[in-house]
Amino acid sequence: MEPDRILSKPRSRRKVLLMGRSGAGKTSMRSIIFANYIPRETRRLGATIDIEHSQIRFLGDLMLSLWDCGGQDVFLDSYLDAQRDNIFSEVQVLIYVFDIMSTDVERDGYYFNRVIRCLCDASADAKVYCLFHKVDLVPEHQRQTVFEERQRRVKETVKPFSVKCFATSIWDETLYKAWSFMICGLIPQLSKLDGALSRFCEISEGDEVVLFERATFLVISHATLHSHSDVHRFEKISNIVKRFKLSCNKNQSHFHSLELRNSQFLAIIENFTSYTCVLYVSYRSDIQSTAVKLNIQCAKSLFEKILGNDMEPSRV
Amino acid sequence: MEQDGHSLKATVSSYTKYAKDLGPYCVTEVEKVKGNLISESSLSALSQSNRTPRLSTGKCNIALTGLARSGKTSIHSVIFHKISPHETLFLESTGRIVKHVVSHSPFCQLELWDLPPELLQSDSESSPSLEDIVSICSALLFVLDTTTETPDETLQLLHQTIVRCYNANPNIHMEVFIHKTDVLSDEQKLSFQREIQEHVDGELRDIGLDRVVSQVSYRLTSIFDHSIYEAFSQVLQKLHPQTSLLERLLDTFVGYSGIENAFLFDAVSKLVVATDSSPVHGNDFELCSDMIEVAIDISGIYSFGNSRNHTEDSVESNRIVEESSSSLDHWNISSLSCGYFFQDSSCWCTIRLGNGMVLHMKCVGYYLCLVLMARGEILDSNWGLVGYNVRVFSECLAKIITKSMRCRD
Amino acid sequence: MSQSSSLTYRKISSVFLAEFDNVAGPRNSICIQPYSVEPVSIEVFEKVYEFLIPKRSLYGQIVSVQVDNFTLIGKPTQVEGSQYERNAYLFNIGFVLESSPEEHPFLVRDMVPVVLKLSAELLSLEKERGLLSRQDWQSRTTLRTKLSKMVNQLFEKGSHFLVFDASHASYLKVLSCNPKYTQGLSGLVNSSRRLRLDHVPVAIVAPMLVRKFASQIDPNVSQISLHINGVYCIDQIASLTNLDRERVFRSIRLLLDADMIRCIDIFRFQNRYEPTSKLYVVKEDVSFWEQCHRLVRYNSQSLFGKVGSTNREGSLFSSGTRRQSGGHTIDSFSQSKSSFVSLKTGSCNFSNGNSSITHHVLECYYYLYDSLNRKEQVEQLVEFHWEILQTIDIRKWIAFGMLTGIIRRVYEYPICMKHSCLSDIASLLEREVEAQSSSSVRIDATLLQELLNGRHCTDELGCLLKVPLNILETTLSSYPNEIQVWWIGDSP
Repeated sequence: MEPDRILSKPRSRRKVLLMGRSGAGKTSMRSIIFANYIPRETRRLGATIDIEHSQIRFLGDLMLSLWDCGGQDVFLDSYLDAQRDNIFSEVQVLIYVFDIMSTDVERDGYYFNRVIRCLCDASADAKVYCLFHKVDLVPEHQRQTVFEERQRRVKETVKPFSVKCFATSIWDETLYKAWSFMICGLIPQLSKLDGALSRFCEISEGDEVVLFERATFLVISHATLHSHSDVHRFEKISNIVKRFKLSCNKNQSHFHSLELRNSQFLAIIENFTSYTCVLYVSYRSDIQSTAVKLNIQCAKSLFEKILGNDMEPSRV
Repeated sequence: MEQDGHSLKATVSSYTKYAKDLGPYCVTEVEKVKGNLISESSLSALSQSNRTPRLSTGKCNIALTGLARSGKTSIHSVIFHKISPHETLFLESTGRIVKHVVSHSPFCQLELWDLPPELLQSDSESSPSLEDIVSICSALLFVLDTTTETPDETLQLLHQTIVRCYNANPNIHMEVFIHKTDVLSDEQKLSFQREIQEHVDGELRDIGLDRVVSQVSYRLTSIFDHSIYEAFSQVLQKLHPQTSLLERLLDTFVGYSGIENAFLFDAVSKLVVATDSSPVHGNDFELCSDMIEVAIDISGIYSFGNSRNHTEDSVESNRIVEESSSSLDHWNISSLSCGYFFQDSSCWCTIRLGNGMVLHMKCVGYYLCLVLMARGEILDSNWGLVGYNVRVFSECLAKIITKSMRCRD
Repeated sequence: MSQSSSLTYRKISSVFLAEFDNVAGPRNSICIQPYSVEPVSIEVFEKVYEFLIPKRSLYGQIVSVQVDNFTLIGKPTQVEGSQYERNAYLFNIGFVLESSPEEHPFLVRDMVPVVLKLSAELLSLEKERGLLSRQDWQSRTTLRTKLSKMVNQLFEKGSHFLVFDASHASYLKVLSCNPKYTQGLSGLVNSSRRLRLDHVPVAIVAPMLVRKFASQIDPNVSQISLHINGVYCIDQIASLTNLDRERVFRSIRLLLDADMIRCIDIFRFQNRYEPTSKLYVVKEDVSFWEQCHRLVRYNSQSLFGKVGSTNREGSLFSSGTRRQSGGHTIDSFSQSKSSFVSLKTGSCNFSNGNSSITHHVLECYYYLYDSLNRKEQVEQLVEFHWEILQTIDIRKWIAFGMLTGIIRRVYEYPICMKHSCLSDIASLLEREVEAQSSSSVRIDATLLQELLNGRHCTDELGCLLKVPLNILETTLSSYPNEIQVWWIGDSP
């Protein structure tokens, strides 16, 4: 990548609102995904006062402007009233977090409803995601029913918008799943990327190739030739690798690459383009890891181009 | 809608649970000994075996003691049952004597006696008494909670326990785990340790037990970081008779292969069985054990669950596992993948770090993993040599293990 | 200033305690007004809720807000601890005062000590007993009773002894340090109305305090406070800070009114001084002269050389060529150490030495001051008494005399009798300046005519015309018939 591309100002800035009532877990999840917290450390976080803005560069050119809005009633009232224009204008994504264990469902619904109305007025084309958080606290056998019940209520509220709901917990990979999905929705060149990735997978005789964003390790795209019974494997890998990265940081170093082989498969995780990492898996026992690495090197420039192009139509 | 269903299912198999299900982590044999239920004959067997406890059972006996809620059960749950530290909050108090048998690698064969705090009271009349149990143990592990509200009482009890244990078994190793130190700063930790040590040493000297002082070691631990693994590894190395042999073997290996450090891990508990004698810096232990975890987790995902593998190789792989598990029949391998990971001698993993270091892990059988740390440029020009040396090392290791097993029999 | 008529503590409208509720958000949980005062309307608090419980960076600072003729001053405090639901308890204790916007900085200054003490007291009560966070009926009642008593006492008397228990008691006092108009001190400008460009502001409290106070008012004042070192006159400060003179005046007035500084006349060796009657009053006061001895002894670090030493001609009297106004080169005087004279804190800057001070030495100071007269410039006096003055820092000596009021400055007020010579004077001045300092000034004859009317002293003229004082004096004295000089021994 040319140095001036890295330095140049990102063209696309996306405003992401992170809202929900106090104690729902907004700052916790933000800290885990973007600030490398481990789940246990989020216990030490204090309450968010008013709004905390953070700018997050994702995939190099995508700038997320994340507004973490403190959820105390006074603040919420002020967002919906005095600060309304400032907050709800030009929103691309609203992430509304519910505490699934909340006892005050009425009031949760009331605020959610008002937020949706404001959003409808100011940025009608925004995408809305609802996260039902702290699902680990619900007994396992009840999770599905509780979730469906809450989801039904939310969907009734937000008629003009289509809303996508997730049940999440900071203690497992569900959080990565939800965030990967939400962030991928903001990447314009996703379909192109998917196509290129499956072609790469075929040509290099791999069985599965997954593309991760390098800083957050969120899944961007994947190509799978043979179906796999574990649908959550990517998020698990995000979680596993991220934990290891934190451990490396403690050692004043950083994760560079991984190569794992046993009699069943070969897995390689390597830095790919400037802002991505790639996971390559093959079940063939005769495949040479050096050949795979060479293939990954060769594919780099193509992906670099795909990721760079659509953001900057002027340079082709 | 289908997508939503999936995301929920994921929460059902939360990550920690997932890890638990896979591994042969669950302790196979938990013999619960309650009150008077322990039979006279077994006690007499205990007293007979007093002189050579290790040979008779083949396992090291460790007594875990400490005040109520000091974290005894948490410690062994985290290390041997892979319960995630935040879940230990919900563990119930141990109200009776519980014996946990740990049978991992040949170097990690333990019997942990989790003793309820009542046993420590001098007027306790329960049977078996503290003395009975301690007399068959090669180590006493006293867990001291730094967050306790009654520090004086705790110290008093610690002192008493040390004296009683010494009287019952003069050869016992005594280990004080100064526990729950994650909330303290480094300075506080050291001053805490110094304070406790001075207090206990002083009291022991006062009653003329000067030689006991050197028998007591102090370690700062917390289940929320790696310190508990390090502390327990050290205890393990102290107890195992072959530690120095392994250390020499590793030294030779490191010397001939041009690498910096080599660790031999018990792969299941991730305790370090032996290291070479060159100094280890910082968090290298932790990094290596995290690496093993990464390798286990990822191979857990990709060794199974794909259609292609199952059609072609699954029969064969099952066979391998069955064979090997019959040789170590105490293994209760609940899940194929993890057992497979430990048995698959072709399994290796390499992780490269940004600072030029390379971590290389190789399974050497018997649920043991060899982890090497080396500079990338040195390792890259010596792969053949290192590979050969690893093979020689594992052959030696196998000899040591079979020999010691034969001895035991 | 209006507040000179009314005392700060009479403006207290209420004491408030704001807390952060984990569900509701910032909330004003206690608000008590003195009995005779109308309650502050809730809208006032609503307007400033983001300052009651502000973002993290402001914790531990004094935060004051001016809104709708009210001043809110408080100290947001954060108590961290795992016993709290969100790992921290946030509160803010403070006062609401009735005020006009101009009064704001003075009220803040007066209330700061009370707020600091009160919040420290509550913080320690919270840490020890959880008095604030428990929020049960009993602790709330205690708190309300105590605060209510306190606010009434403060309103009535300006002070209160707040007692929670044996270890939590403190004496609260609202300062009302309105500018004291110290009469009888000549040459000392305390009244902001009599400020002139050639006045030199001198800090009378520790410079740190001045800066701290200034930083609470506005950036201009803060900037100016950095240049208050007892050397620069107002005009120099204006050109150093690139602020217009009006603003500098305004800021200096603020500081004067806050009783942080005094303004004294610019000191020069050409200046003339004469003793006042106060000198004879303090003649026998040994402690006064001891203080004088402590403060004015020569500080060897000073730049303008030891008086009477061999280089005295070079360094001391070269000051004659110094610039009067700023904007040109900085004169040697200005480069010398700050001549901070502390009246309030006594000998904080000057070590007391261990040599015993003989009565003779102390008498010397008296005679030296006594020998000042309006006919002679200090320059001449120094030449005459150089042996005695060897150990004395002349500048501090004069400053001490001025600040204590035992001497006063004698001014020259030139009046032009014949307007026809004005253009000659103007061109002569221009030439002289160019010759002596190789820089040029433009002097307008009509401006000169306006200025030479007996209402402006030479110092002022120097500042306004940007002509060094010695050039001005010699030039004017070369027209003895056309220019008449009035000598007046006090500020007009």
